[in-house]
Amino acid sequence: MTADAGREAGEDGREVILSVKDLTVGFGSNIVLDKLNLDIYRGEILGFVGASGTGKSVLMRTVLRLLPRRSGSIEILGVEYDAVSEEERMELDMRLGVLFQHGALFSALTVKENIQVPMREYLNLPQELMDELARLKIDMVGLAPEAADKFPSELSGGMIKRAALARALALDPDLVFLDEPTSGLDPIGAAEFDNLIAKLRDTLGLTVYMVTHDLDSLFSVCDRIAVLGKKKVLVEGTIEDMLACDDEWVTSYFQGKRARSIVREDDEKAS
Amino acid sequence: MQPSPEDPTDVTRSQVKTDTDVQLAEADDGSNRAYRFSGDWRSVSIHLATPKLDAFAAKGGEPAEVDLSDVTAMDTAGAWVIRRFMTQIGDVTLTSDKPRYLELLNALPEKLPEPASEDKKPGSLFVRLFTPIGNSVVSAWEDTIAAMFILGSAVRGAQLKLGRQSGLSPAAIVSQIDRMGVQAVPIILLMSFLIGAIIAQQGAFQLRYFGAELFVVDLVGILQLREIGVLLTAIMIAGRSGSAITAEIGSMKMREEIDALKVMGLSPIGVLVFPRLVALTIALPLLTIIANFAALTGAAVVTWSYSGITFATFLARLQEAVDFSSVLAGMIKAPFMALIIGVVAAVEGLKVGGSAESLGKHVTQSVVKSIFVVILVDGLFAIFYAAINF
Repeated sequence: MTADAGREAGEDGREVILSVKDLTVGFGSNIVLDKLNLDIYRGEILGFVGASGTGKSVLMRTVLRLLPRRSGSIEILGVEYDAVSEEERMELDMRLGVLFQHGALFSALTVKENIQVPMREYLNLPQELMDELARLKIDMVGLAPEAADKFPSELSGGMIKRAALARALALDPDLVFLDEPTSGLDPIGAAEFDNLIAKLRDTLGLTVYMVTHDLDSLFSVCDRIAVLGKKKVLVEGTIEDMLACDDEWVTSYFQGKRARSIVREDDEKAS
Repeated sequence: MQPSPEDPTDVTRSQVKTDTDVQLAEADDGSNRAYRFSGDWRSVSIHLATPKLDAFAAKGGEPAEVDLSDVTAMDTAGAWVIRRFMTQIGDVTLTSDKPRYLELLNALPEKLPEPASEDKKPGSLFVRLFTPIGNSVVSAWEDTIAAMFILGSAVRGAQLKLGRQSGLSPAAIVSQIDRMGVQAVPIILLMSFLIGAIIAQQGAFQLRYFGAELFVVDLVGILQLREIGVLLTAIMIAGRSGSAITAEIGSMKMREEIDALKVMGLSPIGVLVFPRLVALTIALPLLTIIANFAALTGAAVVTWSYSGITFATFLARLQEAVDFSSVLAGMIKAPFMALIIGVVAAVEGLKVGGSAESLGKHVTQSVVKSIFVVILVDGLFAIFYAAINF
């Protein structure tokens, strides 16, 4: 497949799964992202942070082609979306999963039917097997089996997040986009969600692009963190790199009162 | 654990398509049985092999080996199918040279958790037959109560806040009048002009047989002023503004905006429904007047071109045929129609549930119900007027 041919290896030989180069996005005279570069490697969990209004959502939506871009290239799984045929685009779409911030579950369908939407669309499976797979996904994301036949309006916020994750995982995508997955969850629920994502990454080999402000998530599950600011990626690297960074916003974000308490806990655990 | 690309056996997500996604069972003399899985065991291709797998599952129950060495790709769906097969077969040992597959298989539950099922006894034929009827009677009663509540709240006025005589907001009402009234003028004008013209044309053709063509003016004048004018305007407004009210209130209900108003101590009816009701009650009679003028113009044009009745004759005849009570009989109905449309739309809007589907359903219901009630009330008015010789 051409997808494999076009794929390039990252610094340490790891495969780049999403590559954004010189991306410029703007609305009218307002430039939101200016020549932004970003690489995500296979199997990692990338945490994406930035102050409100710096364009985190714009970047995610541009990568997902929900917003037009002025210039630059976006290669997902080695494929430049605009350069390929309709069929290859479909194949690419199958390999992406998205968890929108508010779930974006189809309100007229039950949780089970929501999960089956992509299966129905792309796969050729008997209904019985699809039912089982839907229940399997529901179990995987930690929902009670009774949730399968509930409508989104009957679910709590946390359950909606889990159900939306189950839908995002319906086709076992390679790359999953999570928009603030733990916002609005209680700390225990958020920690469970983090563990779940880490577990899924380990078993399914997912690559995760996670926009989050949850410092616990950033410290516990993210392999790498990218900070968006001044219309580009200010700094990217591990949590140690973040702590060592001398940018004002990054310092206040990662070394503020709230972050320090988490670092202290981690140190205590380590010692 | 992260997948390691340098390990060539780790092809969990290999995109190389292998068409050998079938599997074989090997049994020599009933011993050493092994199920060899090979090829692509991902959700895109498992449907090719599942029938075979089911057949094996139905047959075999003896101890066997499950060998995944030749599998080139696997995802949860494939793993689940294999897992299910293993559970069905029972006594199996699993071998694979790719640890990730084993890990994936082991991560899956052996059995899916069953939802706690509630036993629902199907009711008797009598119950099943009359339940929907009972439900619709109850919901009709609830609708009536809700409509009365909205009407009552509206009569009580807009939200009366502490220290304020009236929460009536003129700006909201004026903007609603603009949307429901002024912007509806062109379509009402056009529709009424055509209706007047059509009635006049048909009337003229029929009356010609009796040599009474001039009486088409009586026909159009009385019909339009007493019945058609207000009725068709109300129907048009029910379709145009009733649906909009239901959709607006309904989507606010969906996004908890109605609840937000409630906890601020504001009555959603006072804030949302009242200005719309007032605006409709003002706009609909005015639109009816416009509609009447347009229809009579249309009639005058048609009678002039088909029957040669000049405008002067038309006006003179109209003056004789139509007295003030005809105009009044029609106009009195207009505010009632407006209230019906507004109240039905608000009731339906407040009934919207959590889903997009329910929004659509209630918008439809709002239009259908308000048009039905408008026609029903028009009929009642006709009976009433006949009884009092109005």
